[in-house]
Amino acid sequence: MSTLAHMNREALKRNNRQKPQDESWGPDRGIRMPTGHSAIGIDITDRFVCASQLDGRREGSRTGVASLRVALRIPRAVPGHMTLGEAHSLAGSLKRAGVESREVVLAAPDASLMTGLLELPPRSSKAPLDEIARMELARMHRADPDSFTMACWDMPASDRTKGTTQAMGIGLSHDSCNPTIEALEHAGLTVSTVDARMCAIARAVAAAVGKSPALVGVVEVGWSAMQVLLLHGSSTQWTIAYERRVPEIALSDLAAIVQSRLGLDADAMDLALRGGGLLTEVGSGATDGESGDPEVAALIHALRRLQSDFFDQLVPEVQRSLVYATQRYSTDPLASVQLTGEGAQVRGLRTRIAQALSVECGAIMPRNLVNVHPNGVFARDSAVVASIALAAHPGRSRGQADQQSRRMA
Amino acid sequence: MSIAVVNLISPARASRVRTRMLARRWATGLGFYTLLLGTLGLVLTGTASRQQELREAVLLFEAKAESRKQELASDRRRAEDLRKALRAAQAVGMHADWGRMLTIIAAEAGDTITIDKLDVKVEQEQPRVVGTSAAGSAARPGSRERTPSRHARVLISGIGADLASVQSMTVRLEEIGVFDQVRIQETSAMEARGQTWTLVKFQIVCTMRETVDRGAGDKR
Repeated sequence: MSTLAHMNREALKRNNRQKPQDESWGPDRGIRMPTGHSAIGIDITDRFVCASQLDGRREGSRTGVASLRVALRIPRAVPGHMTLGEAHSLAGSLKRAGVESREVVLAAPDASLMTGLLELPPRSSKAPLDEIARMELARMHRADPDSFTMACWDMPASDRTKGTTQAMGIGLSHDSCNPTIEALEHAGLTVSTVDARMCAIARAVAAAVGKSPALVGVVEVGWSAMQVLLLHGSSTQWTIAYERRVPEIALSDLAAIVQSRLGLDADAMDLALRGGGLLTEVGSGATDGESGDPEVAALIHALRRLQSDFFDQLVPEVQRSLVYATQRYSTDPLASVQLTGEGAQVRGLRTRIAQALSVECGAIMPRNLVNVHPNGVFARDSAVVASIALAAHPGRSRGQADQQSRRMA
Repeated sequence: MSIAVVNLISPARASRVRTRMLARRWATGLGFYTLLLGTLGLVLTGTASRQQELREAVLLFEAKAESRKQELASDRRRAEDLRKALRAAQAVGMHADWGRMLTIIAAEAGDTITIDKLDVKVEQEQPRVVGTSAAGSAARPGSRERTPSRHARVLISGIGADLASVQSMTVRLEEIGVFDQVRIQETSAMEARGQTWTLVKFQIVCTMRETVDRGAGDKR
């Protein structure tokens, strides 16, 4: 803890690049894409089906920051794969929202994703690194090497990678997405790309932070699990240097406790956890000790205690993960921690993480990524960030994803 | 700021999606092409049809014009025939019936006048405008030009019982209204052979004008 805090203080002295976000876009901030409609980004969690579509535009001779054309967040009744009913409901909602495009970029379910840090021979050895990486990932997860699609990328060089190539590999079983893809295709949508949510979130964070040769921690507080990422930024690109999924820390656990102990039904709990509720930092009308009603004050106090218990579980996990990850890159500072996901705006979370890690902590919201009305419904809704980043999947325009997928397969 | 671009869709499904999207694009392209061709065909057919209609209209018009021309030629021929017939009729109609005049003159001669000779001479006159002023100024509005007129001079030579009978005959000729002018041109005494009374030898000139009014087409 003290090592990390000291390292961050030193790093922030050298590189105080994290400026307060304003409404104007910097030259390297925001999601930029060519003119025209993007594909439909669909992120399916156990709680919601989020769908977004962007509109690209130009600013003079260069591509401008995209606009949020359509965003939907449809509650789900049953977690798991998307059902036919949900797919048809989503397709109908998209059609009513004026979305004519049928092309979909889908987020792979995190639980089905196989990830691993791979030790590979150096690239100078001319060894078939892709095949070796596939075999290594298959060995790690005890899977048939031909049963999944794989992608991998080289990790940034560190003190520990002498004489080897370290890569992060992710794989997805061919059958794991089939029910969802078939349901969407039955509803008339065409899934052209299956992306990993961590890559989409990393893309969103990179677009929000801009060029930053530093480390950025990302915490996605999801309904079913928490995910911690460490992004390594250079002057040219961002790399996911660390990934850890913590299913023990989930917003659904907090919601279940709030529901069981305080008797709040699902809608009230959702309101409390999301925009305008008692638990959120954004638009909160009540603070500790301000309510004159003793019953409401007691409720607020109980909520604070429950969410503090939740933070007591969450923050050490984040701290542990980022300390471990940042030790690999001791020369680079941890510039900030960015929160995203459905629980990114739970009241007090940013302050607790900032205090624990001695770094600036912010929340990634759609207004940090795309042009959206500042008072719009989704302007501050971090739950749709992943779907927005999926919609901005660059492989659709460049065709790199298909090439890489073919190469990996 | 690039993050690794990942597509984890299975290769078989990706291939199917690519094929389907390609087929859809081809179908869309072919649809547009067909639509374009259809539109072009309709436009061309419409233009050809319009041109055909115009051609037919021109042909019909030419046929009508030819028919009219033929009718006009036929009418011209008929008009020419009618004109000829009219001229013939006019020629026939304008021919003087001198016999009737002689009958009138003989009837007016009575018992005291013997006509020896009757000479009729028809002369053509230059056209003149009726209504011109004496000074020869321009014709007044409404004046009518008359066609070249003819006048006939009837010279009556004969012998009368006396001068009074000759003058009486002159008066009677004027009174019948046939002649425009009747005047005694010459009289001379003449002794009757073997008789004691004298006779009067005379020449009376009767002028009879015939004019055709061009504007009204009447004839006098």
